[in-house]
Amino acid sequence: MEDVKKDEGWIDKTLPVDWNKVKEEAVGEILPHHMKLWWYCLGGVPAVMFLILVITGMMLSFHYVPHPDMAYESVVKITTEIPYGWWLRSIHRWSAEIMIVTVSLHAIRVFATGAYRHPRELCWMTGAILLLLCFGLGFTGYSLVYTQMSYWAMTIGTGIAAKTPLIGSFLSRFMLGGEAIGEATLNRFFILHAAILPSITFLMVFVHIVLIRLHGVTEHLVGIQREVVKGLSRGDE
Amino acid sequence: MSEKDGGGQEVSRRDFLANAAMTVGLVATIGTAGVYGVRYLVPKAKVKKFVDVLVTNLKELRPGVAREFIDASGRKGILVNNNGQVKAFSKICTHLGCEVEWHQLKKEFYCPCHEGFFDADGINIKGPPPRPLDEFKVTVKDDNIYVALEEV
Repeated sequence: MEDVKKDEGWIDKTLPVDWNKVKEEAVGEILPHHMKLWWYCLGGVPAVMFLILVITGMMLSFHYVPHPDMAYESVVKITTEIPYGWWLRSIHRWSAEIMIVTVSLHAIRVFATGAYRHPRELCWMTGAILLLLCFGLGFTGYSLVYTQMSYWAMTIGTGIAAKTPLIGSFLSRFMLGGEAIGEATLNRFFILHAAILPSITFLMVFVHIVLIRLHGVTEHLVGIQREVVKGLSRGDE
Repeated sequence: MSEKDGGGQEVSRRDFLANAAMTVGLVATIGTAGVYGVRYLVPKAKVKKFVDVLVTNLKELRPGVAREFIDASGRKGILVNNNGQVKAFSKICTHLGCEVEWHQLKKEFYCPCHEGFFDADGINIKGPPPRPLDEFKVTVKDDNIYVALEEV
């Protein structure tokens, strides 16, 4: 790892990547001291949760059936019959819960510390889209279980959408795939939950992180003062 | 990983222990998740369960006599008393699935579709059948004859 050029192996020749540089780029960024406080690290938690959700979600989709007659049955089967189905479903469910909580806390932290200010507007905007995507994923996922609670959540959710001015009825009919909850609705929610929303989320997370890395993390408002007073340079320790 | 020969940097005991703990934790976590994942995705092999079912008794099934029976999923079988030795076979010919008949005098099973013959032990002796008839386990207890049939 220390000296790659000295003895170039097969891998180094076929995959000419400077791994030290990659490592430096990935984990070597110098961060201001305040980043050691946990509430500044809340953005990473939903990112990790999202990865876990994608993996466990793929696994769950192997046994889930998005049909009104089968949806709840297949969830019961996953939970009670299929080996470790309960384990995967619990991880999926709790990761979702943690993702929603931490992403909200992250948004509050960014808002409270004013980290959205110029020139990081795009970061804030993508973050806002990501927050909505998280809620969308939560809503569609909750509905897929197809319990009584899911059914009424879908009814209320699409009902709220229907009250949007001008495009309300269009939105509601788009979500339901008709006038009422049925076969088409579950199919739509499943496709949204398992394919469309995660893809957009993945893209947005990528843009969000690239923007953060381009700008560097925000200067701490109090930290700047401390720098001025004590003449400390921005950096580690 | 403190190496003196490779010319690499000395790794402190603290770093080594931290890295080792991290590696063990990661391997344990990912390993467990991997095993659970594979168990989740690959269905368990179905274990067939058999029950001893009372079919008839030795007073009814005298030597040389055969008797048909049907299991819970509707498949036909045949019980034969070949001079005191009671055996049970599937009636399905192993050639193309016709039903075999017991020939009492010749002590043979005969499949009329393509002239297939099996002896009293179910062994294919003549004609196209490629293998012996499928056999059931038979238990005789107090003159009662029980055949082990698959549970449904």
